[in-house]
Amino acid sequence: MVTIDDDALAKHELELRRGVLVIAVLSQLGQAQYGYSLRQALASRGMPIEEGTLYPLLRRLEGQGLLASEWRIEDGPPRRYYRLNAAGERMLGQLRANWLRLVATMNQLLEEGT
Amino acid sequence: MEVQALITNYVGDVTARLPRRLRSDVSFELAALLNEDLAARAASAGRVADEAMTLELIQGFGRPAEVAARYAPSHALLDASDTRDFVVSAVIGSLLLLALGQLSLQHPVNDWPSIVVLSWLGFLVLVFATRNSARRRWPSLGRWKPHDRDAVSRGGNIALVILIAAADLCYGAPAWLFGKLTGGGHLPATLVYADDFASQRLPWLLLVWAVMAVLFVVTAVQGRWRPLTRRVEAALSLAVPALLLWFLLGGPVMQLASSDHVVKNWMVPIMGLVFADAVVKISRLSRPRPPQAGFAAPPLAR
Repeated sequence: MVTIDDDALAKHELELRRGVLVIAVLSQLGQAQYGYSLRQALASRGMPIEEGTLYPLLRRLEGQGLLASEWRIEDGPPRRYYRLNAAGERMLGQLRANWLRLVATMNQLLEEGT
Repeated sequence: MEVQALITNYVGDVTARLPRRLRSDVSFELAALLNEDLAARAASAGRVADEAMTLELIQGFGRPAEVAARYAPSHALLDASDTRDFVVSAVIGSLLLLALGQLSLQHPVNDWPSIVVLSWLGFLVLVFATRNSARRRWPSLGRWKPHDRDAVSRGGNIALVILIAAADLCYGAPAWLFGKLTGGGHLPATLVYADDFASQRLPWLLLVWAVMAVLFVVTAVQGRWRPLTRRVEAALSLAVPALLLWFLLGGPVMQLASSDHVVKNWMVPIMGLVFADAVVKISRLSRPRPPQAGFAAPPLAR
């Protein structure tokens, strides 16, 4: 019996997750979240993302004009909150439609292949 | 090292690689997020966060250069797809140039500045390629290691004080020193200062050096650099190139015109180096400004 190379599997899985990172993040930013709370929200839904990847990604999405952000100083330490802006909502809508098409295509391919 | 010092140093290493306009904002956000991650780890481990736990979190976050590149991606100098062509061209080209060099030994190249610059560029390519390759092979080599920027090396400071005292003696009393070393000999005319320079301008440099020596003694006793001693150090560092500029423009430094010409030619690059050092020290004085509620982040490049 052929054994699965764990390292190779982990690398392919990482690539899969990397591809859906942006749509996963955008999907959770309909309401304002700060980096840590967003990471918790994603992890609790089965999408853990490393801190070192998520926090800079939020800044990059903001730089691309998809997110708005502001500092809030409430009870705890100052936190930067991010949320979708109008351009981000449009982008999420398009990515969501593409994703659903891709999932349907992949399901079909996998069913045909087995 | 304390947990907060570790986080501060790491965040400083990341933000030092970012565009200046982003540093303060990213610094606060990253430090706050690392603190929240650390608190969550401590809570799930059921113990107080310590140095080992903080280091594990930070090293998992990534090398400062990698994290900075995720915040503000920069263009690769050489695309991975071109690496093979580059290596082949570099090896074949180097061998050809070496062979041509052997054939033309009777006409040696005298353009040494070009040779030095090209050699330096080639050296950098080799060093960076070796370093990247080693990091891919042994990932632990790339792990961030804690360092305390404000710790004082007492031995280093004492060595600097001795060096400054020696410099003050050499430049302040060259005739006396020459006489002592040669058993009563007179200082050669090529080494004699112009009278105005020796009496009016040189003492200021000797004074700045003396104050620097006192500063190094004080910091060695205190054991750490503090904001005030850092500011004094930066001010003194800036005073040296300012004095050198005054020496350059304020009349002859040496009695003989030929010596004066040589000394001033050397003074220009030295002034450039110490000025660059002063600029680095001054830029390190700036501390991140705390964010204000409702204040939007400076945008990154798209």
